[in-house]
Amino acid sequence: MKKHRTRTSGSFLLRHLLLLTFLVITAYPLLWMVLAAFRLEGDAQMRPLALPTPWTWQNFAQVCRNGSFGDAYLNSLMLCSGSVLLSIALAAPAAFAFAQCRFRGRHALFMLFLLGMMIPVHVTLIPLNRLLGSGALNLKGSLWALVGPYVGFALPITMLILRGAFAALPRDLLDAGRIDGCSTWGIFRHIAMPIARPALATVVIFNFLTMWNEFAFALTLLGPGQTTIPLALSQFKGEHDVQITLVSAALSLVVVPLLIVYVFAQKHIIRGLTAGAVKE
Amino acid sequence: MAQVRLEHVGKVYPGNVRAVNDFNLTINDGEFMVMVGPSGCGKSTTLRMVAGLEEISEGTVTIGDRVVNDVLPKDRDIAMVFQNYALYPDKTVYENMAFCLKKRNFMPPANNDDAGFLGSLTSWWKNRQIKRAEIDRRVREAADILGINELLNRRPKALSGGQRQRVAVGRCIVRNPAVFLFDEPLSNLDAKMRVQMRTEISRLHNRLETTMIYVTHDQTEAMTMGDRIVVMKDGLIQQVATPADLYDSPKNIFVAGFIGTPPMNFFDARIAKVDGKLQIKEESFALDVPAAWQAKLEPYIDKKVVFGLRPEHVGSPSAEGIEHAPTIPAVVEVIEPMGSETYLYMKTGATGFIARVDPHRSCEVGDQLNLAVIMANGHVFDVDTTASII
Ligand SMILES: Nc1ncnc2c1ncn2[C@@H]1O[C@H](COP(=O)(O)OP(=O)(O)OP(=O)(O)O)[C@@H](O)[C@H]1O
Ligand SMILES: [Mg+2]
Repeated sequence: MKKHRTRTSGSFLLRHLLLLTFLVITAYPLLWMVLAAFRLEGDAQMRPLALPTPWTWQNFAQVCRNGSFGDAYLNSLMLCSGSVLLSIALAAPAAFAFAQCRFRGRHALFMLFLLGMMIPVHVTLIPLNRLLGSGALNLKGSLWALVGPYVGFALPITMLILRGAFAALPRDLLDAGRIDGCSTWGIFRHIAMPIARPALATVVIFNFLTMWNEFAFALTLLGPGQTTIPLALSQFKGEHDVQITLVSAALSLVVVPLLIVYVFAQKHIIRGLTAGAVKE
Repeated sequence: MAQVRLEHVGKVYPGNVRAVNDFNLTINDGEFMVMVGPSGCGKSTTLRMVAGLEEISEGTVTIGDRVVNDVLPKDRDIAMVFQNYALYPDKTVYENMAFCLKKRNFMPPANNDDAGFLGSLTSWWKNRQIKRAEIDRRVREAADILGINELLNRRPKALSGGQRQRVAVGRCIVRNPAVFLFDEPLSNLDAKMRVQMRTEISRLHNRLETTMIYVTHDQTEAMTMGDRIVVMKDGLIQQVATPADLYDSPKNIFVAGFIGTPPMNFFDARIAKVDGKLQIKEESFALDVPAAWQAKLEPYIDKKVVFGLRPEHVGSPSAEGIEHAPTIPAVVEVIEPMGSETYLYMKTGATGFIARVDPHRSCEVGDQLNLAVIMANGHVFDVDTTASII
């Protein structure tokens, strides 16, 4: 009995030591950034590891006074949340069909979708530039120009994850839905989607993060007046130096929506949400 | 309320897997029909064809007086309980039970007397309220029947296996369907719960008097619940009969061996004619055949047969009480006292068999016994066709 207990506490200790190390590695840069955001310029250079003396809101104030950062913030919020929603609205029904409906060429078609993941993003920069700038579309320069590429590049991974989730649905559950009077769409809407919430949360987080950080498309496709966060951040870089404290303050603000999305989505990642549906 | 008729029904899965073959069965209105058979014999497939979840490859299925081959599951007026319960995990018990009612128009449309946009809007609202009240009434009624009133606001995750299966049954009751379909609903429950749910479902059947088709591989469930039982093997019906008939007069060796615990004993034997009388001869024993069997066994003289004898018909108190009963000499190998009875695992020659004896009969492993046989309850089967001769 006693032996058993010491062994568990030993593995407990080891596990938590590992987790703690990992936590320090991930959390330290974040902590450093937040602290730096509250420092004075000189303080940051003299004593980068100590607590700020004195604490100051000056950096935040300066970032907020900078009009283009606020615009970029709003732009990014609209663009990313819209694109995330659109990518899921498009990918989820398709993923369900690929997972649960039998039709000719479904495997080949799905492979074609996955091919999208193998295309390096930057290869498409020039063609996209030409396409969006062409007379017919004429989107180049506006925020709309980014929606297509963002959603398009999010689709393969979104479909992959969601198809996995939909394919794992117990057959009996879908059959029960059919007997209860659901059409295929009804099963998707009322049974599959609620159960797939953990997978949906995963793709929401993943896609939002990717889009929030996206730089290359934003740089090439947006017009002079338009900007997103990754672009706006680069302006805090002077010609010869980086204003660490300003960049830190800006970055601290940038992280906030990510945290919110994460906390919100994580609420839905309850492990084993299907628990209770069927006996495993 | 409806009769269910299956005529020449067959199922061939992709890849030429034949799961069900020329299935003919009429299930009467209000009957509790149990389908039983070993794993993979096509029970679920047959049930799913009745439910409309599986395409019918051959033949016709009729529910009531409608051929339903091309009718969608939701329009077949059936409800189904699955082995895995198949409750919607994100919905409460109440929502689980109400879901199918929300999905259909089970109410006659209220007449829309005053026309106009506002009129139709109010009547739509009124209908909605009426439908809601009706759903609520039905859900609570079903919950009452099943005793799950306190669970209505819980999610399936927070229920025990027995409670989940009750909810699954409740989901069917609210529909008020013509036919209930059960696919091994109790096989995920523990032994005690299974016995309890068994009686509960039987009681439900008595109360609702709805046609029920119940699939199981557990022959105890089949025997205790069914009005009639279909025994299946390899996609073929072996026998359809009442539990008592199935037990007393199995049509072939498979049914005889499948129904009954412990199972029937089989002996490889021969029919011999000794002094003008027929005998069933095994290596280590010979049993005189009852006069009534003579005519039927006449063609089998000097041919091999299989002699079948249930454990309670050898060595039991009623057998031992018969005067001049024929006996089988055998050695006791294992003694299994069950309390109300004792099973002896015996060996005669090279053949083992089980005898159900008086619990107070004293014997020990290694004892040589002569066990009396009730010949009138024996069975004789043809070796080649496995069909029952007697
Ligand atoms: N989708 C399918 N595709 C191909 N073959 C199938 C399919 N479903 C079932 N089968 C085959 O059909 C036969 C009958 O299966 P079925 O599920 O009806 O058996 P069962 O009697 O319900 O068995 P169990 O007691 O194990 O549930 C089996 O041999 C099985 O392998
Ligand atoms: Mg089955």
